[in-house]
Parts: sequence; structure tokens; C-alpha cells
Amino acid sequence: MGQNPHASRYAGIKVPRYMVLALLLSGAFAGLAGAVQVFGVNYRMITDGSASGFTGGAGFNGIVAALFGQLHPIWSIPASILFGALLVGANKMQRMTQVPSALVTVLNGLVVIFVVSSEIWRRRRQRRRMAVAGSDETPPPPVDKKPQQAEAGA
Amino acid sequence: MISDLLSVTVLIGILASGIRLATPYLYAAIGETFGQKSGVLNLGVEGQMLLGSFAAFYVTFKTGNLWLGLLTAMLVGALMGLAMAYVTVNLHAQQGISGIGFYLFGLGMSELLFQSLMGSVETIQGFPKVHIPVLSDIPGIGEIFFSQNVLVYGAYLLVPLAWFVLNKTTLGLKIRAVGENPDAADSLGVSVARVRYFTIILGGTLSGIAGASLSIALLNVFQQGMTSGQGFIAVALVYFGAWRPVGVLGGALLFSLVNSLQLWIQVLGIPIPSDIAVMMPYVLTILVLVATVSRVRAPSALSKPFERED
Amino acid sequence: MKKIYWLVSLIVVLSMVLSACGGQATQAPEKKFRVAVVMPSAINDLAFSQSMYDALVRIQQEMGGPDKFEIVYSENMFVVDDAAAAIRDYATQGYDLVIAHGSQYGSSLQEIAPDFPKTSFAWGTTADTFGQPNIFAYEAASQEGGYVNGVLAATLSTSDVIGVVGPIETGDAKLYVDGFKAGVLATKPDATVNVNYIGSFSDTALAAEAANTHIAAGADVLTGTAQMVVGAIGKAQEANALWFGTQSNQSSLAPKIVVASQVYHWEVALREIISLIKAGTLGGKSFTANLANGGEVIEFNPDYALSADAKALADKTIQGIKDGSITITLP
Repeated sequence: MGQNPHASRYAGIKVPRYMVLALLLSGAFAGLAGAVQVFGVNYRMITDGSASGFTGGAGFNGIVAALFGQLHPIWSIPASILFGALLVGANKMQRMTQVPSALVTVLNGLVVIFVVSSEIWRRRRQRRRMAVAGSDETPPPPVDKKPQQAEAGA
Repeated sequence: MISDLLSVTVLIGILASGIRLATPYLYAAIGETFGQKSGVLNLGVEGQMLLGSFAAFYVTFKTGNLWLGLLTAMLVGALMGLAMAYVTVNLHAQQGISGIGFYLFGLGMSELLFQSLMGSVETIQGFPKVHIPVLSDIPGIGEIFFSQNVLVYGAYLLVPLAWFVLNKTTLGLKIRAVGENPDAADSLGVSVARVRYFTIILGGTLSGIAGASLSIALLNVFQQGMTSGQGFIAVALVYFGAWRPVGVLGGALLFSLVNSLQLWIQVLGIPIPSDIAVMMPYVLTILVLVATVSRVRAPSALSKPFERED
Repeated sequence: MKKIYWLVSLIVVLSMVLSACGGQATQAPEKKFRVAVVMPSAINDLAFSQSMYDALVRIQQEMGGPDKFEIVYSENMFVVDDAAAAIRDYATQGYDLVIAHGSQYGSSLQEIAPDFPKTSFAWGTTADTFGQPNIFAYEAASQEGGYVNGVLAATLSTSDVIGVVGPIETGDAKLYVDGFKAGVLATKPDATVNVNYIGSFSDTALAAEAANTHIAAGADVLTGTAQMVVGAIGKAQEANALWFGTQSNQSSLAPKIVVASQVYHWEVALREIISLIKAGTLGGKSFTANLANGGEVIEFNPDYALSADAKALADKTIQGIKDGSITITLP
């Protein structure tokens, strides 16, 4: 459905219904993440009212990890681990050198930008490899859910 | 008690507060609208706002010149927009992720610069209220609409301006074409790259102004993290407004007016628990969205990198 | 060009991942007393975190400087897991005292403390030491300073309408606000105290509008707690309303209108904790900062001309709370 909503509709899949279902599921998982945090890690509800609250930005970092995993549920596991290690390592660096924590945030941002920018080289190499292998097909670029989400708003 | 809400002072207070609160959202969301209309999703608005906010404040603090501060904020926003444009258009990076990267960069950089250049919270004299002659003397309405500072007026003037550019100019046509069907636009000779560079840099500049509106016009102070998520709400407002400047205006006003309403509800002692009151703007915005959305369609090429098929 | 991209990203990524896996103890601590503190916001937030950092700096000066008293800190640790990693890391590195300055760090501390029986931990703001021998707890009776501020506010207000800008109705903030209200009403039972909680600790713009709301409702004296009040102070200054601060001394922000601030002097509790640690007790006690023990001090703004009568009333109230003749009843 994410790849081609029009084709899916022609094939008979009720796009809006499944979109709602997918959204419900993702919301449920997000809620589960919150529950795990409260019950399994912190043992209490921490509200500090900021945009991060007790998830401490885990919500946003979750989006990044998911996108790193190319929106594939299995791949998001190693992607989240890698990303988590990155952040932990950055904090550790901050403690050892006592540089301002803001610097860690800046580096966090730069790493994200650089890694995501370098994807283009990967895809070009992939394409060249496939061209060499004789096939003309280019792999479809990863399609984000966003344009289709609005359509589901009907 | 609820009848207290209908008193003139309270209504004026709610409206005036709402108009002010909506200002940064307007700048940032209209900027984002241009970008999204051309098919680019920028999640880094919050970072651009923070860096712009600090830049404006610091320059004003050091030079005493508000306009110089504003200009610096615009420059900073534009530069971040330039970087985002390069990463998006030339490197085809996934826009959602790169946006978050820019957000973190702007957040960290504004804090870093604040800590090394200033160190402690200071206040300045920001843009003063400009009373529009004659109109500001109208009882009630005058105080709400015609006694605000320059940047507030600018935010509201931006709406019809944006509407005009997007709907009545060739540039607007190109922007929309690039956002709907970049391949077709490209084959007709429109430079997709140029259009997207323009909209992204424009978006960055407007985000910078949004940040400046906070630090040198509305609050006259800079504090780390002071935008507190407003940049992300601005992005959401673009969706809420169905990618139309008027819709964005409606969303920004709805959100801000309900926010100032809940402040008054608490002050007047209306027995709604503070936690519920605080939720009201968010809940109401969602409800309105659900109730009014019909055939809303995003620009078809939104957040898809454009690659010439050859 | 592309190779450089990859190389740079790889190096940065690798170094970060490797340092995440690293974490060895340093050499045995020297004679100097080493303190590490983990805080949820910035050390210059003019509020919660700054109060602890300032206290540590004061102790450092008392003890003879950085050679005798080392302070390291991790600020902006609002992600609890990051804070837990920091706490554990500092303990591993052999710091004498690791302070978890934030009630949200409690459950993490509970897990970490038993692993480091030779390290002393301090947790605030709370009274719970989890019954563990190496955890100290500290909190502030913020309602006391709130009460004094309230008494003064009522005395100085001419419109008899007073406004309070709060973050979230919980914990330390609620204590302060309730104490403040009690102080106002004890002095002028007919006065109106309007309170709005804006639902955030960081939304400066909303705090500013909250202040505007109070001013439009007729308030000529305002107060508030948490770091977003800098927005409210600005609006108070514009309207020439008076301001009472808490957690840190906020006079510098608006010298003309800030009357007084309740400042947390955590060093009172810290001094006791440090001497206990040196004598071999690593935890098990809880401390309350209040007016009586000097953990809370009402610092008057020297730039604001407070009338002699008002000052006398304030001092009398402080004394009354200290010796127990004034009791503060909270809702």
C-alpha cells in the first residue's frame, strides 16, 4: 500500500481501512513503548511537561531509527540499536571530556545529516551494480508514507 | 463563572494574546507551506527557529540595532535552508531524517553559542508596539488588532502575500507544478532544483524570522530551548491548513486562541483541572481537523526526491 | 569526495559507538573531594539546575578551590536513560559523591546504588532514600519561602489582585504555589490570587502570555516558578508589576521590579552530606532545606527600595516560620 496506493486500490485492497489499521497499530506500538518506559524502566510516570516529557525525545529518535531501518520492521531493530549506541557514546564522550552537552546535540545532528546524505552514494553504487549485471531495473526509491496519509484523511 | 469569560476585558485579553501567540507559528508554517507545496518536507524548522532566535537576540544585544538582529536571523535561517536544500535536492537525502538532523544541529548550536557567547539570561528592548493611527483608537478592536509590534503585523500580512504568490503568479504555478508532478514540470523546462532551492531557502528565512519574533519582539529574552516544540507544531499546521495559507492562518489562530483561552479559564477560577485545560488546544485542533477534512490532498511529490529518469 | 563523506561519518560513528562500550575506572581518587552531578536542565536556567550548581560552586570556594573540591556535571539530562548512564559512569570512575538532581532519576538510582557500595549518592528533590545505606535524599520546603513571598506580595499589592504563573501542578512547583497563596490570604483574606499552570517547564512564550493574562485581570504583583518564567518576568517589567522569584535569585533579570527571591542554598545540606561521607557514613539520611536551617534564604533585591515596614514584616514572618509560631496549612 505504501509503495503504490493506486495499484493497491485496483487490486481490491481497501486503502483507507488498512491505512487506519496501520496507523492504529503504530499508535498502539508507540503507546506500548511509553508503557514499557513507565512500567519497565522508570517505575513511575514522569512528567516534566516539555515537548519531550518522560520519553525524553525518544519519540523523535524513534522516527529517525525507523527511517534508518528503511521502514522495515525487522531492520529497525539493528538500526535502533546502532542509533542508541551512537547517542550513548556521544554522552560518554561528553562526560569524559566535559565538553558542553550542547556540543553532543550538535554532533548528533551532524551525524544524522551526514549518514542520511551518504545514502545517495550507496544507491548509485547499487544501480551501477545492477546495470553491470545486465538488468535495467532501478530499485524503487523508498517511498514515505506521508503523501498517502493525507489521502487517508477522507 | 463561565459568564466571566464573556466580559469585554477577558475577550480582548484572549484575542490579543492569541494574536501574539500565533505570530511565530504563522511565519514558520507559511514558510513550510512553500516548501511542502514544492514537494519538500522540512522537519528542521524548530532548529532554524532556535538558531534564528539566538542570532537575532545576540546581534541586537551587542549592537542595539533591532533591524540588524532581524536581518541576521533571516540570514541564519537562509543559510540553514541552503544546507537543507543541498542535502535534499542534490543528495536526495530522506527529508524526514535530514530535517531531524537539522533540528538537532540548530538546537545544539543555539545552546552552544548561548553558553559561550552569553552565559546567562539577559533581556533587551525589543520591537515596541506600533499603534496604527486612528485604527488603534477604536475601543476593543483597536487594542487587539492595531497595537501590536511590527513583526506581528508582518506575520498576518504574510498570509495574503503567500496566497497571492502561490495562486496568482507564475512562480506559484511552478512551485505547485513541481510539487504535484516534477517529471512533467521538468519536461516543460521548469528547473525543479531551482524552484525547490527557492522554497526551502525561503522557508528557512521565514523560520529565522519566526525565531526572531520570539526573542526580539514578543519576549525580549533568549533562553535555551525556548521555542519548546513550536517548530514541529508549525509543520503540523501546514497539514492542518491543507497546504493553503488561509488554512494555516486558521490553524495557527485556532491553536493560539484556545491556548490563551485556557490561560484565562484558569485565572477566572473556572473549575477545569489545570491538566485538562492545558490539553485543550491540542484536543480541539484534532477535533476540528477530523470534523472538517474532506478531500484534502497533499502535494503528490511531497518528500520524494526528484531524480531525472534517463 | 564520496569516499571522504563515508570515511568521516564512519570515524565519527565508530568513535561514538566505541566510547559507548568503553568505561573503565580511572586511577584511585586523590585527596581532593570529587563530586559529580546529573541535572535535567541547563546550569544557567535561573531555576532548578542552577540552584544546585551554584551551591556546589559555593562549597568549592569554601573548601579551597578546584584542587580540593572537584565538580563535574552533566546538564540537560532530561532523558532518564541518559542520566542513568551518566550516574553509573561517574560512580564507576570513583567519584566520592554522585548527585542525581531530579526526582525522575529515582528508580535508576535505586538500581545503580547497590552496585557501588563505596560511592555515596544523593537524590533530590525527595525524602526517600530507598532504605539504602549509600543514598542521601534532599528536598526543599518551598512552601515556606512561598509563604513569606506571599505575605510580602499581599502587603505591597495595591490592587489586591495577585497572579501566579506555574509550570505543571506537581511537586516542588505546587508546594511553592500553595505556600504562596496561603501567605497572601493570611495577610489579606479578601485578596484574589489567580493561578495558571501553563503545562510546560520550557514554553517561555506561553508563560509570557500567562503573565499578560494576570495583568489584564488586574494583578500588580506576580510570581512564578520554573525556568520559563523569564518570559513572565519580562511582561511584569513592561507592566510595572512586582515580581517574586523562587529557586534562584532572579533580581538580575528585572532589577526594577523583582522584590525578593527564595533561593535554594543546597550547600547547607551538602556540607552535612560531605562531612558524613568523610566520617564514613555514605547515606541513609534525608535533608530538608528550609528557612530554619538556612537551606532556603529569602534574598532581597538591593535595587528595589523595600519600605522598612514591609521588610520588618518579612523578617517577622521568616522568624515565625523558623520558630514554629507560624504554621502553613496546605490544601
